[in-house]
Amino acid sequence: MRKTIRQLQSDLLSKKYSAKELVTDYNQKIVKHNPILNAFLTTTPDLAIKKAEKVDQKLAENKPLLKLDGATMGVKDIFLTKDIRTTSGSKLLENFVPNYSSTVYERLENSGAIILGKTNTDTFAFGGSTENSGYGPTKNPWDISLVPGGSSGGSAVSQVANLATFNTGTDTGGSIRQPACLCGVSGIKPTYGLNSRYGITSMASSFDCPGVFANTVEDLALLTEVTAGVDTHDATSSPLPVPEYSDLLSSVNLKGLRIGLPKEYFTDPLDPETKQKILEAVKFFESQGAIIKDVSLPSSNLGIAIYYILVPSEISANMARYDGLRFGSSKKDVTDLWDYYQTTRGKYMEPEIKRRILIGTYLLSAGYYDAYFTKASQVRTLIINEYKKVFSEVDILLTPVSPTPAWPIGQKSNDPLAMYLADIYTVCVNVAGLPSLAIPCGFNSLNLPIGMQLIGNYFNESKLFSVGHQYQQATNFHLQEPKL
Amino acid sequence: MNIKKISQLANIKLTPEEEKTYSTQIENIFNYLKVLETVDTKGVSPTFSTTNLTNQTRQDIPKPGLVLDGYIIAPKTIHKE
Repeated sequence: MRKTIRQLQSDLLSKKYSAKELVTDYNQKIVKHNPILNAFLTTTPDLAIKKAEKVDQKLAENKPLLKLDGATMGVKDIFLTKDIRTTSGSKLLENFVPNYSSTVYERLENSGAIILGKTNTDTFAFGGSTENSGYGPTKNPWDISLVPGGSSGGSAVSQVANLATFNTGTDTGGSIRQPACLCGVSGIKPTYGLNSRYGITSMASSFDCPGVFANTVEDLALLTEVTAGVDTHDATSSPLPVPEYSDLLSSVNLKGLRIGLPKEYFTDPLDPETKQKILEAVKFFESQGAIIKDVSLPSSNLGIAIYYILVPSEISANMARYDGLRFGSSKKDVTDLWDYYQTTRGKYMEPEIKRRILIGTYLLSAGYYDAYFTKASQVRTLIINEYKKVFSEVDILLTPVSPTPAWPIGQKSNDPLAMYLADIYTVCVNVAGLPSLAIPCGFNSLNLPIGMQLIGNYFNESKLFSVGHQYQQATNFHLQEPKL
Repeated sequence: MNIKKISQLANIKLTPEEEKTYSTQIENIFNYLKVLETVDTKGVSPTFSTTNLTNQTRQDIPKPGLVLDGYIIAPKTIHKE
């Protein structure tokens, strides 16, 4: 059964079960289901039990609980976790144990969350299906022959299979929202800069956005108020005050709320069943008195092209640090320093890392920089201006997340462009740096989950949470569980 | 695209098979990227930061740094007689 963090804490306080029993149960579920699902790359059962015992001690002494005391978490394996192996889903970092932690993980831990392990991801978060992991693909629990989406596929699967109370993720082009959609769980990609990027292996620094998956929007709100806020370790983190999102879940009146449907998101290649379920959600909001408006974001079709210029460019720079000298795997039998770099990177980097570094290196090389990088950065401005204009007409946008439900493992893995195009409805949000909430809104005829996306204006997370929460109060798609 | 030159710039040693696969795949991706050529961007300034939150630096007060207990052992890469 899916419980919210508050329900779980209330169970602990009323002694329905102890934190140790709760954590033991999670540990056992992971041992049982992970060999098939491959959601976790590393588990920390003993550490989790120790932390649970501390919660039980606190309960015995009637001390007040912290916001996340007793909540268990799976942490995407690109978040550094002090003294816990962090692979980034790559063989390059197979034995890397960091000596400091990422800010988001540290804040969750300091609020009481108990880590159960590190979740699978496409190598360095490069991908949309978790098939690019150096440790094998994660399987979708609704049908294990299908991908769970990605790159945060391990976290989404851990969420839907109830292997942790919540899970962390990162979203550079859809890597939280798309797996949330394909697995049937809730996920938030906040405004760029709301959550600190410190201690997360960098992909594309002007796009990367840490966030969370949870059972409900209510939990996403609670978790985001813990993770968000300025961090002196990240010079692009937002200094704006962080609202208590979980107290604002009823703050938006659906009556009169202006919801925009961008027409570019409802045409080809959108799968008809997905479209139908999204429109049923639109009908729900209409029945609550929301004003539905057709709007246009004419440059949306350029999102993928902008993304696959700017992101590989930033990747080629960020990945330069993996030289094998300071951390990670390396080739020892080399002739000189250049040979050492080139052999190490050639041997240990997964194909998608090499592909993206090569694309980025080419794009930034002399003679091509202006034609591609500058041009794409200019079109980025056009995309932002279109969103700004639309947000003067409506309060939020409602769109699909993925053009189709989950697809078979292997179907797109030999065609990188086909894989890139699966992000067609999610990338523009990252290009603009806007916040977006992905929540389940139905199932197709094969009983595969379908999700919708609510996009808000900059730093308008409280509005998204409130609208999403009210939708979940009236529906139960987010509570459905696959048979394991 | 000169894949040998690019892989050298990127410091990645590729096998001949990899060179072939990546050349084809990357050419294919580049054909798709051409869609931007048709967009009129005259006079549009480029965006490098979406929220304009750059250089949110902390006050320059000394704080303890990370402590490494031990040394970093790197392989011998300079071979001089």
